[in-house]
Parts: sequence; structure tokens; C-alpha cells
Amino acid sequence: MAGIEQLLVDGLALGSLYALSAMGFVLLFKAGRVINLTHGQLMAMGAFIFLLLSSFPGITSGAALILSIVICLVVAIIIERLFIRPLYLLDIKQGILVTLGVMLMLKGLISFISLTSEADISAGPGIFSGRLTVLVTGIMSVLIFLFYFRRSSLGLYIRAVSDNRKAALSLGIPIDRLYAVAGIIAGMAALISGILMAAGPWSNASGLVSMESKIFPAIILGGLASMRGAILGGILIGILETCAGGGGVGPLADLLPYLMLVIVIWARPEGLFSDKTDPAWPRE
Amino acid sequence: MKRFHFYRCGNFSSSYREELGLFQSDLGRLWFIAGLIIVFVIIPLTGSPHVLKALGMIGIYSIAAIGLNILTGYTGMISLGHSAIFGVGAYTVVILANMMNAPLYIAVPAGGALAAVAGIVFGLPAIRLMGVYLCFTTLACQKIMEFIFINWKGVTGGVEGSPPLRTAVAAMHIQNDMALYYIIFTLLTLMAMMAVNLLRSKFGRALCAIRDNEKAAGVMGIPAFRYKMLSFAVSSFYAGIAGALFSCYSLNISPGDFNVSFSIILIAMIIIGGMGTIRGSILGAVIIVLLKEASVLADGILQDALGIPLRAYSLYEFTAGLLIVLFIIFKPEGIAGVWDDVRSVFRSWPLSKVVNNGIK
Repeated sequence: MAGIEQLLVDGLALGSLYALSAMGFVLLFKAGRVINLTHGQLMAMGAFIFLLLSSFPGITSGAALILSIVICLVVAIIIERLFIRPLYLLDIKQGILVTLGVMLMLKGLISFISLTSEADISAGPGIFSGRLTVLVTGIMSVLIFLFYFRRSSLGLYIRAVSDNRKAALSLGIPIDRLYAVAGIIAGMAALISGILMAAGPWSNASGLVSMESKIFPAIILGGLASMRGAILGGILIGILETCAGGGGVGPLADLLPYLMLVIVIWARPEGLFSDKTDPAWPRE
Repeated sequence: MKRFHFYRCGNFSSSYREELGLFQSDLGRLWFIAGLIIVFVIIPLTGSPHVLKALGMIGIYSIAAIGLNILTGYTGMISLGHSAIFGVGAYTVVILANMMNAPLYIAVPAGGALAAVAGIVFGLPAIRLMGVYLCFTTLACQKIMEFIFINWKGVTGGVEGSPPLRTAVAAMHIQNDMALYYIIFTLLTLMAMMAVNLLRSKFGRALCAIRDNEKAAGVMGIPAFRYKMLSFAVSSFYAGIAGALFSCYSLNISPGDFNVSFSIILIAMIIIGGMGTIRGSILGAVIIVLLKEASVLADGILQDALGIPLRAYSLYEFTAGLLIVLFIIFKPEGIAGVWDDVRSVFRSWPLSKVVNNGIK
């Protein structure tokens, strides 16, 4: 049994990765009112790409990391172009159904490749064996994302579109380019968080399957349309999961986040940070 | 003698009763009777055991898809937890048969009833919210149920699967597949007719009103919360009956049969077949089972020809996902919608313009 500080550091490290991924989801939701249920599966995809690359004998783990980020960029662009962009024209429920289909496709693809290549992806190379390294990397990525969202002109545009789409359009915001960039960044956030998770101490094959929906408790806890909420929700769920598992990946770690989700929807469906003026207010 | 109408060139209903009739022309009635004869007489006499097995699967999936269609197609609520509800029905039969030696005619309805209760519990937290939140709660409930299926080893048998059923079901099943085939298709016919009649009554119209505009439905005096709850219960009842039949059909079930992928595949069935139609659910189940068989076939062929062991199950998942995406983007009405288009082209042939006169 690990000490309490150890659990907190572990939880914070895992939570920062959840936070990064949840921020991607919130970005896409704010920009185009798209509920992307593929998000969890994208994390699994990132983890899978990294594990697959590092299982090849000739590739060092550092090269695998860089190579997998490049491949993930390509994957994010393809998914944005083919599957996310048509969603802006569809009804929100139809959009959900499309992302479910993409989720099933990615699942099939992952199991197909892993069975065909017969690579041993059960254990990662563990280059970030120290959890502190993951913690620092995760928090760095979250801060970069947040800084980009708050300070760059693109972030400003997205917030403008989120507040009032018609007004933003009439002020000359390049909405097509904006959607493209937002979709790619959101995909990259999920994929990179998956890569970091696989590079960290959480990499195992069963984790890959359970990763497909682990992100949603964090998103709901924080509130669908709040960046602050995404960060706090991710970190809280990470700590909850680590404490439930007692440091390892216990069975309770697969249960408590989902119970938390149900309780949050029952008691405070708008999440931790949402006010009634928010367009994502659930009792619409 | 009554004059038969085989193909009408327009709508000649002269009363509301007539308009609501199950069959618009006598040809439809004829097709229905022919279908019953084919399913209950011709196929059991001529079909090989493999065909009967596949048809049994189609029947089970059809019942589950009709249930999901009541919820998603008619009420407009997306559930990602239907495979867990299906699992509740399946495990109820296993528990009742193995521990209490309950006969089939008690175990299967009990599976449906317990599944309906599970469905109400699933839906309760999110039914008062906008639809998006229902996806998340049902997904979470799905995961919680999967956890229970895996970890409550004393009852469910854990990951390795349940102990085989050892009641009258098992004995009957081993003696002949035919009995199970008849049970499945009798139930399918009864439940499909029940669903059709339910959905063209006050209940069904209330559900459609809620789907199209919940606020307007509320203003007109439809208690939305109660009807959404009822819709969830009825839908889960169907899924539970299907699950109960599934456990009689496969005799050994494991938690892997009831994962999130299967929930999405159930959704794929109603999207491919057509949301908001009963025949669409059955068509979708047929397509999904054909897809499963085809991917096993493709797996075998490619393994022989190229030496690549393609994995049938991943191929099946991938294609089902692709079909969801393509149908939603290009033909959201599904195959039932294509069928309606073709019919209306023929009906108004010289004008050759697609007129959508089917009720969506």
C-alpha cells in the first residue's frame, strides 16, 4: 500500500492527462456544439500507436514517442476532415450517432492491427517510469493548451463563436478555418494524452480497452462547456481513480468514476463550473 | 364479393379508421401472410441447421432492435446501455434456471421484467435533462453493469462465462434447434405486432410528439416525464426478452457478450434499418447478422488466398461503424427510407418525383 502523498502524486499525474483530453472535448463542444463520443477511443488510439511503435525492435523509446506524435497528427487531420467536419451541419443527436460509428470503426481498426501484427503491446517501455515526469509533462501540456485558448487569437475566436455564432460570423471570423483547427487540436489533445498515458506507468492491454470511456466522468464532473471545469474534473477523477485502485489498477478503479458520473448527473447536471447563462445548460 | 386493392395510386382513405389501418392495400396483407408461411413452414422444413442458427440470431437481434427503436427512433432518446439491459435479461434466465430450476415460460418473462426495472433505473437520472446527458448516464450504467457481470462471480461466473443452463431449456435445445427457432419467431411476431399496435395508439403518438418537440408536447398536455419513463421501460422489456432468448440460444454467456461495442451495434441495426419504423428494426438485424456471416467468410477466404489471418470480429466492428457513419450522413432514414422512396417513385411513375408520403 502506497503512502498518501504517493497516491496524490499518482492521481495528479493521471488527472492532468485526463484534464488535457477533457479540454480537447470542451474545445470542440464550445466551437461547434459537437459531442464527440470518439474522444475516449482516440485516447486509446494514441496509446495503441505508441505501444505498437515501441514494440518494434529497431526503434528506441524516444524515437517512438516523436514518431507516434507525428502519426497522431496525421490521424487527427484525417478524422477531422472525414468525420468531424460533416457534423457541424447535422443535428446534435445525429452527430452523436456518427461519432459512435467512428468509435466502433477505431475499435475494430485497433483490434485488427494488434491481432495482425502480433506485436507484444502488453507492456510499454516505461520511459516515464517516474510519475513525477508524467506529472510535469501533463501539467505542462495542460498549461500550454490553456494559454493557447486564453491568449491566442484563435482561442478568442472560438470563445466568440461559442457565445454567439451569428455575431461572430458577421464580424468576419474565418469560421471554416476555425472549425478545422479546433477539430485537429481537440483530436491531438486526446491522442497525446493517450500517448503519455501509455508512456507512463498505466500502460497495459486491459487499460487500452477500459480507456475508451474513462474520460467522460471527468468531462461531466467539470461541466460540458467549461475549460476550468475540464481541468478540475480531470484532476479530481484521476485522484479518485488512483485512490480507489490503491495505487494499482484495482477493480474499483473501473467502477467509482462511473458512479461519480451518475451521481453528478443526478445531483448537479451542469457540472462544477457552469452558470445558467451558459448555452450548454442541461435543462434547456 | 369484396374487391381487392393491390396497388393504389394515391390515398383513398375515407375515414380516420381506414387511414390508421395496418395495411394500406391488400397486397400488404398478402405479403404478411406469405411472410408468416415462409418463416413458420417453409424455412423449418428446408433450412439447414446453420441457416436455422443464423435465423435464430436474426430473430433475437430483431426483438432487441425493435425495443431500441421504440426508445431511439420514436422517443428520440439515445441509449448506450442497451447491451447491459440485454445482459440483465440473459443473466436472469441463467440464475433462475440454474438456481431455482425455473421453467422457460417463467424465466423468459422474468428476464424481460427485471430488464424493464433495470432500464428505469438507467434512465431515471437523466430523463429530466436534455437528451445528450442520457448518452453519458447510459454509458456509465453500461460500465457499472459490466463491472457487476465481471465481478459478481458467484452468480455470473465472471469473465469465463456462466455455467451452462441445465433445465428444460437445455434438454429441449440439445434435442432439436427447431423448438427454439419456433419460440424465437413466435415471440418476434407477437412482439412486433404488439409494438406496431402500441405505436399507432395514443402512447405512440405521445412518444412521437415528445421526440419532435418536447416543450410543445408538454403544452398540449402530454406528461413528458411519465411517457419517457414508460418508453424506457417498454424498450428495456424488449431488450430483456431478447437477452433471455439469447441465453437459451447460446447456453453459455460471458460478460464480453454485453460490452459497449454491442450497444453500438444495436444502434447500428436501427440506423441501417431505419429509425422510427418496426420493419426497419428487423431489416437492420438481418443486415447485421449477414455482415457477421460475411466477415467470417471473408476472413476464411483471405486466409486461404493471401495467408493473412484477417480477424473476423474486428472486420465486423469496423464495417458496422462505417455503415453507421455512411447511413447517418447520406441516408438518415435507413433502408426503410430507401424502400419508401422506391415505392413512391413507382406509385407516381410518370411524374417520377420522390414524394415522401410515408409516416416518418
